[in-house]
Amino acid sequence: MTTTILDISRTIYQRLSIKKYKSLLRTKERTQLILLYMLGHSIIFIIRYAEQTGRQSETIMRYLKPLIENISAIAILITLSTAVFYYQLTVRNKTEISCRIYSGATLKQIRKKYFTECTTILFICLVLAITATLTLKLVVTEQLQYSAISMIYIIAGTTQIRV
Amino acid sequence: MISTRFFITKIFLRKPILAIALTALLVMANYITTTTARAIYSTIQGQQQNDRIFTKKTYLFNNAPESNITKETLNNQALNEIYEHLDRKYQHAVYTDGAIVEVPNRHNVPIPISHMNEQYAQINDFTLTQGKQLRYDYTTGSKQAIPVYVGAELAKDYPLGSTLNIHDPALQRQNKLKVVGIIEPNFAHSNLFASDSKQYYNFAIVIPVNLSYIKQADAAFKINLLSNLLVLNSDRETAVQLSEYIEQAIKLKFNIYNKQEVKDYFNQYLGSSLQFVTIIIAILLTVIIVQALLVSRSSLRVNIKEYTLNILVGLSYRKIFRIIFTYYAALSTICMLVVTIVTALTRQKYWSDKEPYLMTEGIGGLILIDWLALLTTLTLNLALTTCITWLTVKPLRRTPISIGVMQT
Repeated sequence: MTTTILDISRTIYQRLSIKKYKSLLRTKERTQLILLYMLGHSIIFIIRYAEQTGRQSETIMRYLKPLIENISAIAILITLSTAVFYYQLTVRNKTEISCRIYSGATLKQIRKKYFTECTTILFICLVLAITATLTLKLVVTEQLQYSAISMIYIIAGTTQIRV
Repeated sequence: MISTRFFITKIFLRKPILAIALTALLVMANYITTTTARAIYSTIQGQQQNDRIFTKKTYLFNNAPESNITKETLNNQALNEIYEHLDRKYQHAVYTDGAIVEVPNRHNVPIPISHMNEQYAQINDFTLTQGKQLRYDYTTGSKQAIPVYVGAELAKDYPLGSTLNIHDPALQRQNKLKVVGIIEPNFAHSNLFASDSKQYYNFAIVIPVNLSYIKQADAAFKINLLSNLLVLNSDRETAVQLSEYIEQAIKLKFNIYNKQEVKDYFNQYLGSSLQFVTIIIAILLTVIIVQALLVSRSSLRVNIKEYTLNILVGLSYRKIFRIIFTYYAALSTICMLVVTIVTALTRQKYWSDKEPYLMTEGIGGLILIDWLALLTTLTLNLALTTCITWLTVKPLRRTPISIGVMQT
């Protein structure tokens, strides 16, 4: 059983050619991306946490009401900073992409690699955020919304990878 | 100037996503700073008012929540005796508000009425722009009009010296009032227990009360006055005696608070909440600022070629600092404008909802605490703009021109 799972994962790993081609992302950029996602999730998390903690207090609710009522809008607005990140990534990597294609890589492979990596980072951050949110029994809707919009940016970023 | 315009129109605004993302973050940061700063300033004002009202020898009587008003409480005879007893033996300040009357005015706002006695005026008087102090030695029921203060907005319809007829909700009959003083615009009182709250007296009428007025008023009004009773120059023993006397007479229990206990009550219920809100907002603000810094770093990477090209052809780092600073300052000015408009709109909403205690005068209804809060936000913006610019120019200095120019 374990060997079959290992085999399957190995095949997927090779199919996605993760080992063969170097990623477009550097360690520094990966850290920055993780940081951006975590900050975005933490904003939503803090507002939801404050709502839950301060539910009994009229004063807290009065002051935090504009934030709680507009939490979806806030979630959308903070995704814009990840959009900026993906935008600068594609703008910066234009030369690198053409160089890689000259040296034998295909556009499809680069895109696949980029997409997998960004999605993995997004997914890891989402899982972490959801775990934290569910531990405190909070609502996860906005976290999912935030990740869904970020997913759109990743797809848009992937299509922007061209020569 | 020309280079600044060139940079802004040809470089920064060609990639609008960078500007939009940063503006969104800055608007959020500005908004939460303004609202929190306003709450803090409002609380400080309320605390200052409490410091003015309470001396070491002041005791506040407040209706005990577990004690309910019964038939025995509404005994007019007993209540009159309490007020006579108070008048003979205690220096006491009474104040009440919340009654609404219909007075024709240009904004069609329901007019709230406040009542206060002479001692209250001595410790927490209304600031006037025109007119003189109230007189308390009038006789109720005579043809003579009662001297009153009116709020600054209401004074536009009822100027100094004019008279108005109202159906006095305390006396339950028509009453003639004469305007002798006009309250300063946006003059406010805070609730003694909730320092962060504010009620503005722009539309209010303030009626002075004396013993004869109180005796003629109805029982509900007397109980209202009693539940905000302040006993001055007293000690706890005397105050407890008085509360026992009242409890015996009308079967209504009162809690007694001195200055420290009012403060403790505030800290326990509201202070801790405000502290929680402030901490949450501070954390949010930090997170948003870090995001804004990351966005500005990303924008630098996108524009690095343009920067280095311009440096190559002779633009100095000092000038580039100035250009970037102008750009971010322009962005934060836009954010400040948005926040100012939003704040003004919330003030204007009270005017359209006709809430007399919350309607404020000023440009767009903005008052001193709003401007102070906006000033705080402006300071934050200046610091943030300098910080972002510095974080943009510093790595730019470290990038060799040859590498920067080669960047795509």
